[in-house]
Amino acid sequence: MKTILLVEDDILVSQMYSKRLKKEGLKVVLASDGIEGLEKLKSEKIDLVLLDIMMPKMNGHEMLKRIREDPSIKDTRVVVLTNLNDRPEDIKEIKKLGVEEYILKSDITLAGLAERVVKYLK
Amino acid sequence: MSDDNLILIIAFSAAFLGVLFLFFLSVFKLKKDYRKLEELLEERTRKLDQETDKLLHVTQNMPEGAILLDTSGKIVFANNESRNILGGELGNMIGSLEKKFSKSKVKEHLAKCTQNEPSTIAEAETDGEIYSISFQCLQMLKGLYYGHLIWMRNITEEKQLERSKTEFVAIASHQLRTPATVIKGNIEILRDKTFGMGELSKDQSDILDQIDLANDRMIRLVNDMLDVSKIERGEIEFKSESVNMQELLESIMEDLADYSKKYGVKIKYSKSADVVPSIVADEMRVRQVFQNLIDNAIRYSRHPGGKVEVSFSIKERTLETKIEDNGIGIPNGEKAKIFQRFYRASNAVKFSSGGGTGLGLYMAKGIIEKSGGKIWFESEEGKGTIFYFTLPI
Repeated sequence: MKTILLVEDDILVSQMYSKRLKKEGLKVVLASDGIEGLEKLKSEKIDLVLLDIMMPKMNGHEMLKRIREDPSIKDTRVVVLTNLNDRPEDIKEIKKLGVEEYILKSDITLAGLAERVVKYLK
Repeated sequence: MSDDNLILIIAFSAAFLGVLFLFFLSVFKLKKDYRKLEELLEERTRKLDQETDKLLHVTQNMPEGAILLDTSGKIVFANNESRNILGGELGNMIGSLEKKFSKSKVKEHLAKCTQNEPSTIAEAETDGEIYSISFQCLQMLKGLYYGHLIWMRNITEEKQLERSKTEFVAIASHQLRTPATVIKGNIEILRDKTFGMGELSKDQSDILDQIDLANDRMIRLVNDMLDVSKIERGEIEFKSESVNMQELLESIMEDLADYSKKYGVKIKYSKSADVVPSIVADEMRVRQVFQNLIDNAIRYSRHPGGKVEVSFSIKERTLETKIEDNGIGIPNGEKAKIFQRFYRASNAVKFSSGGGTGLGLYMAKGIIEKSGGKIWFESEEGKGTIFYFTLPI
């Protein structure tokens, strides 16, 4: 069974996504900020990270930077899943750090997201 | 001495005394006049002093810093605020101005000013304070020529307010999108039979459709408002790139294929004999306008036989795009308001309550005009509407 790490501070959003992803036969590990996300990433076997950007304590941008700097997890596949689309320079920087895709939550259906996740896990 | 002589002497003396009297009389009058003149002068001087005093009070205590330079570039007047900003010594003020706001810029602006430009404005940030500085060339003033007037205004607070407003709009829109995403996703889960939550009744399903429509509209509103606020503040930089309008149209038609099919509206591109030349604009922004106009045309033409036709033509070094529909049209009395922010024509609101945000045309106008083009329409209520926009080739 493949495992997804969903890093998302809004509990309603994470419940909704994990409900849909579990239906694809995936295991979903939750983290509510970047710090918790890094801990889970190091302690569990994660196949793909779904990463929100605006979060308390440590935001997604910072977490992504740390992932790429840490040799033990630097090759982790990350899909950004956020509603942040009004700061093009931030988006550019995030993409430069290496992400499979930068997805806007308001632009994608749950089925669409599930399809993408399955694709990236193949 | 003869009598004659005596008479002569007496007459002479009398005449002399008369003259003397007249002389003293005139001296006395002159002195009086002189005193009057003196008093008048004193009064005038006092009034002038009062006026100067008033003007000085105003100029000295203005919230803006003002410096007056003579033709040789020497400071001849500096008010309190300018001394606060640049330090008190008149002789050091220009040096201080150059140090704070870049020497070359000050020189450049002063030079520009002598070339008869009325006023140039620069913005400068120094020690965490932001100033707007304007350089004004002074022409003849009652025969006297002064060199320059430099105005300095501390605009730190205004700028901070502007920044926090931008930040607020960005954060608010982000925060609003999150609950909208949750609503949308959960509607999808409710509709998904594979979750095993049972079949929805027709009524339940209709209600979900309405919630979904309203939620979509809210997401669009948030996105549009964010765009509008950015465009209004001139925050969006418009790229100058070559845009192939025909390809853009084809791609939009592809994007909107499902939508037009759903409404049973046919979209047609009528090719002209001319080759459609590329225009110079920001492709993403032009797409936004184009998509918006076609989207509207489809939305308000959904009736049996509803159709939308798009064509291009070249008009005086611009490419004119024409989007014609046979929809509900725009009522005569509302034509003037159609490009206003949040305005939706009354028949449009009735026809499609969950539809537009009232920002689409307002934004389209802003984008087209900023790209050097024009946008207008012709419409007849009940018959249809033609929107035109031009963009430079």
